[in-house]
Amino acid sequence: MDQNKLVDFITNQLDMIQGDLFQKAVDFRKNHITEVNDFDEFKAVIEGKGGFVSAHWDGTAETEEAIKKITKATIRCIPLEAKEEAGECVYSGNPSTQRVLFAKAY
Amino acid sequence: MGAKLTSREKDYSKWYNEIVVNADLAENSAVRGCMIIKPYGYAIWEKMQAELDKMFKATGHENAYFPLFVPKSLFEAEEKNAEGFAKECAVVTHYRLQNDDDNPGKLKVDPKAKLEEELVVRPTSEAVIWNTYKSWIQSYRDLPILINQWANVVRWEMRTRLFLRTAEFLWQEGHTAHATKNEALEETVLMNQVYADFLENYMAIPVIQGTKTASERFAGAEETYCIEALMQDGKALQAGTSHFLGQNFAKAFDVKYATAEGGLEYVWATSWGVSTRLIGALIMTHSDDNGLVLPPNLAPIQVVFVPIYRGEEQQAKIAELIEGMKAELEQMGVRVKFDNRDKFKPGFKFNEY
Repeated sequence: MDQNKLVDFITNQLDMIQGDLFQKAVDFRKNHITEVNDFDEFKAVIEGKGGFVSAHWDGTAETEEAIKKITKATIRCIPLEAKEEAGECVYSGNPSTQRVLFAKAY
Repeated sequence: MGAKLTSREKDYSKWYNEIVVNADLAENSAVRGCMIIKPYGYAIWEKMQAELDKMFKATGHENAYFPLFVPKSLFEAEEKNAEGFAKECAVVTHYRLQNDDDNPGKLKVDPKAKLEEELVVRPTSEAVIWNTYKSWIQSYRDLPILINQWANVVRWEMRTRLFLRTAEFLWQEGHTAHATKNEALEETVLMNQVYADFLENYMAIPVIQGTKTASERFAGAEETYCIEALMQDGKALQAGTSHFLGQNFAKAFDVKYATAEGGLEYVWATSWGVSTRLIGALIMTHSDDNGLVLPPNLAPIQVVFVPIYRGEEQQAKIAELIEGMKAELEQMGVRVKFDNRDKFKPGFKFNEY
């Protein structure tokens, strides 16, 4: 490969590698966000597949603490992008307005 | 990397630690929970710092520096903040060491040099900063204050891991003061977005932006925004946080400003930070069973030329060619290394990088 082409090749490769690394991480995450609707499902995913679990929460600290005690999973965040969706808390069954993300965390 | 690395599947924790140590990024120090960041690891931090600093300046912030030590009484002022951090505080009680007469060659604290008031080594700087802002803010014309500091903090953690959780760590903490609630909220959201952009565009780490629940909130905040990332072992990692502090610190330190209409209001506050934990996130997100993998945007060395030649004549010719390409690449901002060490064979060099 002649010198000029090599320089272009290298810079293109670097951009490609940056993009590929990001895409790989995006794909991994996509495969590791699971929506669950009952507590057995919740426990199974947390113990098995891992990753983020999207579930309804009644908004109380008590439920949060209970889930943490049983599964070691904590509420990582209430996603900014999540849509309003009426549902029942995955643990208590009480009303919930939005899904939140649970996971075991560092 | 030379030796066989433990695979992620076999023992993710061990894999991570082996990479950090074998890639010469960091190592444990003589103090439990504290780390030494080695040159290669520090070079990554410098890249992150440079880029983040650019982004902070682009959003109107300036850097400043506040003291390491926080008088205990100051630290106690904002209750929730103090309560939240109390159990992790390192405290300085004396200001002088003297020869230990009972143990020749050894030192001990000088009982006569006991500090009147204990000094806390900052776990976070809100107390120091708001005590200072009090004297900087008199009227709406003194607002907003948009300051950031690059510093080290100490949180005496029990379970530590290189980069991810160390007793002492390097970070940046932004502390802003605003005249209105809306402006403070906007700043909080803006900085969380800045963090998200940095993680995704520079570190190639996708993040989810969200707010923390009340129990996970920063001690002393009204609302905490965060970016959450997912590591290859399926565990989440909090990569950065941005806090809307409301008027909590203004009230604790009595920081008011005169409004344009002649009234007196408490100032609204935000604080936000990311730390050397991000290096851990970087390593864990991209590396594999062969070793460390860094995204080009943050790699201290992006391209390595390893010459393969027979004899001095070829060596000289190749060197000339490579130097030319190296210069051209560097002009384009690419970070290049020409490994022309003739003590090592190409195979060894391939292994090293």
